[in-house]
Amino acid sequence: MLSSPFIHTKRSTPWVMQQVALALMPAIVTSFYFYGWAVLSNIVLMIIACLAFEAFALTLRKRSLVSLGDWSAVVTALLLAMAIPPAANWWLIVVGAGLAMLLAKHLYGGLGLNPFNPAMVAYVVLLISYPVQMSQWIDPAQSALSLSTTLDIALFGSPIDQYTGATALDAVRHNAGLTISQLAEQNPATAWGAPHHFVSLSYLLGGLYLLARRIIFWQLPIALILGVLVAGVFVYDGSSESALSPAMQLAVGGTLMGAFFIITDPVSSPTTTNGRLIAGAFAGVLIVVIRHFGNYPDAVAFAVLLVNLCAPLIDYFTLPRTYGHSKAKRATDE
Amino acid sequence: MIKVHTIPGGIHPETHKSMSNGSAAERIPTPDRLWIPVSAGLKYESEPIVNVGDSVKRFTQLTQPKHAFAVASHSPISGTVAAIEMRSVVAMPERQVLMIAIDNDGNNESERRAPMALDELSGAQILDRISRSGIQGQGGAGFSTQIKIAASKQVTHLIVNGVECEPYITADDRLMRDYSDDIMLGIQCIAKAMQLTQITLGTEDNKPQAFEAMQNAAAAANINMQWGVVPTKYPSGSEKQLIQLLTGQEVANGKLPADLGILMLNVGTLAAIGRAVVHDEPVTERLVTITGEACERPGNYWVPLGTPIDALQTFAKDGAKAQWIQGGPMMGVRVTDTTAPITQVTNCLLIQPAVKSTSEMPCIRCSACYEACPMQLLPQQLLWHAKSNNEQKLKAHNLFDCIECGACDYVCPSDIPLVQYYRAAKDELRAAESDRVRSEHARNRFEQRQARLERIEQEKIAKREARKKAAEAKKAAKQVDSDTTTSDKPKAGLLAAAMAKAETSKAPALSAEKLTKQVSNLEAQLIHQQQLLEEAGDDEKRAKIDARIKNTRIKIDQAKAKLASIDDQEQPNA
Ligand code: SF4
Ligand code: SF4
Repeated sequence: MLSSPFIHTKRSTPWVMQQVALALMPAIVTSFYFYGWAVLSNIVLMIIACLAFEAFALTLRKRSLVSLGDWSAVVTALLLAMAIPPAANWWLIVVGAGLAMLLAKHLYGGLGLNPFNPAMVAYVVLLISYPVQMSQWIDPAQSALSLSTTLDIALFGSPIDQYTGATALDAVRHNAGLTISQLAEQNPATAWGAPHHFVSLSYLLGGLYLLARRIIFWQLPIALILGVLVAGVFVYDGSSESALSPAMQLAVGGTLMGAFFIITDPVSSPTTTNGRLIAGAFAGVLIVVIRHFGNYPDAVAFAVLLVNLCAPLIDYFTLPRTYGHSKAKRATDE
Repeated sequence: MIKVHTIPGGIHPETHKSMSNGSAAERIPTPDRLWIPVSAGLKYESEPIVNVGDSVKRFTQLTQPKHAFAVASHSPISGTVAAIEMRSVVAMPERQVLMIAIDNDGNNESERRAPMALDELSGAQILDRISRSGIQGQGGAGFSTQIKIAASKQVTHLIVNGVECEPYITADDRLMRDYSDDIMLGIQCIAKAMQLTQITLGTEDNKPQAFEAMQNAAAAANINMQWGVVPTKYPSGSEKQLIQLLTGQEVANGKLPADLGILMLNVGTLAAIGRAVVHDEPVTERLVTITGEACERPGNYWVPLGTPIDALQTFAKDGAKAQWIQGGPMMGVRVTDTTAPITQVTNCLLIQPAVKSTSEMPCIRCSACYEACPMQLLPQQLLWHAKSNNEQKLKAHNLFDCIECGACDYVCPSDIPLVQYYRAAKDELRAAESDRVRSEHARNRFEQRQARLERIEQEKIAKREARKKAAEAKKAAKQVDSDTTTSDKPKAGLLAAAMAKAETSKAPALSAEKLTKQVSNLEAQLIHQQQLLEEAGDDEKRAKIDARIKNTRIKIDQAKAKLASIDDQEQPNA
């Protein structure tokens, strides 16, 4: 080392990424319990594809392949693999990985320079381009998929026998005249205890681990959850026009995954303490608003991307006051 | 016990203090030859007042300050002045400074001192004794204590800094435990000379013995003090941070602690003041923590100023390829030349196993740095703007408020040498600033010159007109008509000459700019080469790189010399 400081924490960026991957394990295990090998095929294929695209991009940009070992591509792969329907076709995965690594990451200059969360960019583009494939969730109520069936579906495109009925968010969107409690009786996805609630719970568990390890800061997830709850109150009255209950809003549609693993992606989120509070709350409100008034029920991805878009602005308006200064400066001040 | 406030940020690195604070300070054998830098403060000049061959005693004054901020040096031993020549110092690896060599005659003779009890000394006498004894801040910054005191006229509150928050260092800890009487003397001197009403000791909660010793000493000396124990956290001992911790106040941007009525002195400085005033002993030695993972007998040692680091090589574990650091691991300076001497700022010599420098990864904006910054800066934004050289943004993000504590650097998971970037960016901004000032001067000079030429020209024209009128009057008187040829030619000629001259006076400014750029390029090259050297495996490669480094150094010197000569040329024009 050439100059001070001569000591550093043992924390490294690869280590941070590994911790995030580790924190995703509960959710992966729970999903595996419900969906079987279908989940693992997504993950394995996605990791291979993401690493391949990352290597390709690094080679094109004449960068050292050493940064393949920073684990950032693996984390993106895990998040995207968990966000798309299990046992997704290999080509869907390859397209998704390409979008995440090339379009959302390396086009902007690679790790640290992407203004948007790569997994969410890929997810949204896939959702818009392949709405059918992106909504075909196998039915977790049936027994979990075996390895051979999974491979048949993912690699050779065999059709899936059993899809779920409408997801909770879809059910609410297409709700024709039922109150929320009637809806819950008719569609178990909108009632407490559905499989995705357990998956959500596992994200919460992983998120708490990250919080305890001080890898993510509490402001983003807590503000997001509060944002969802508060906004949720305004659109919930239990009637046929109502949205899901605020608590249910948290438990479905990847809200908790978004709160602990997506919005907390440091690269694309605001950096200041107050900025993180604002961004989290904004994302939470947006999730509810998009779900209730928007065209896509998968609001988390859109909300996150919108907040990413605002991150520089939020940072700009929440610059901290430096020691000894009477007020915070703006970057445009002299 | 006073209520302690909190400060933002900060880090908790392992302190490693128990390695070196176990036993009282020892003395190292005095080396055969000491090297005393002529300008102790390095930045501010003094001149030698002894000649080669002179014999000196302990406490003989060796140098006389030429600059108000400079301090005098005194001989730590008796012996002969063996040489006065340019040598390397730790703090400025890129350049050499004038030093005086004293050969030890082993007689240990001292000049006669005039000790006086504190009661018999007036405030003015106290200050006079401080100013004669060459005391610099012993906490590591090395600023002239006399000047610091002189700039603190309105001060009512003395904060005694015994925090010592850098890992590994325990010199102040030991000093407070074993020399608390000296510290109390220093406190009494300052309190008397400056008529203080409030005295507070700030120390970290990991030094209970030191704290107790200080309390006892204060009771024995009958000094009424306040006690502030701050939680162990780096960098609590930094001046601004400690003021915030103990008073809840911030030193306003662009102001000094004195503006809050506060004077902060390190315990080492106060002990030195106590000895200087009461015992009439100028600073000739200091307590140095010699420690580290590759150190043989970690501990605290009284080391004569001027002791070459080479003389302490026995402290390095044999076989260990060690890296020496002056100061602590957070803000210390790497020792590149072990012939460099111990100075008043050498609070610690850290001997660490050489480690490979890690390679920098991209910033993932994780904000760990922002969470750690005690000044509430946005280190990752500063990094971004430093990399893109965005002067305006750097200033807007208060780059110059960065105290270079290294907390951000310490926590960065991407191993980005943030502080290195900030130092470089500050240097660059300062250079740009002085460039601006220089070109401003040049422009002013040019404009003044233009105005002067214009005035002269006007006067000439006026005179000519007057002469012409006189001649015409004469002619008219003689009633002889003749051609009066006035032409603009001389005027045009003069203007052209003035322009040409202005051009030539502008020319050096242009090439000065080029040279400055060249120097900064070369310096960047130098840093790169040093890094290569660091990483180079075999000796052959090292030798090659070494040669290249020397070459670059020579080039830098040449460019700087040229620059200096241009500056000199420019002066007479003014
Ligand atoms: S700690 Fe390092 S990686 Fe994290 S934001 Fe700061 S500079 Fe970037
Ligand atoms: S080195 Fe500067 S930017 Fe970094 S933590 Fe210290 S004051 Fe803040």
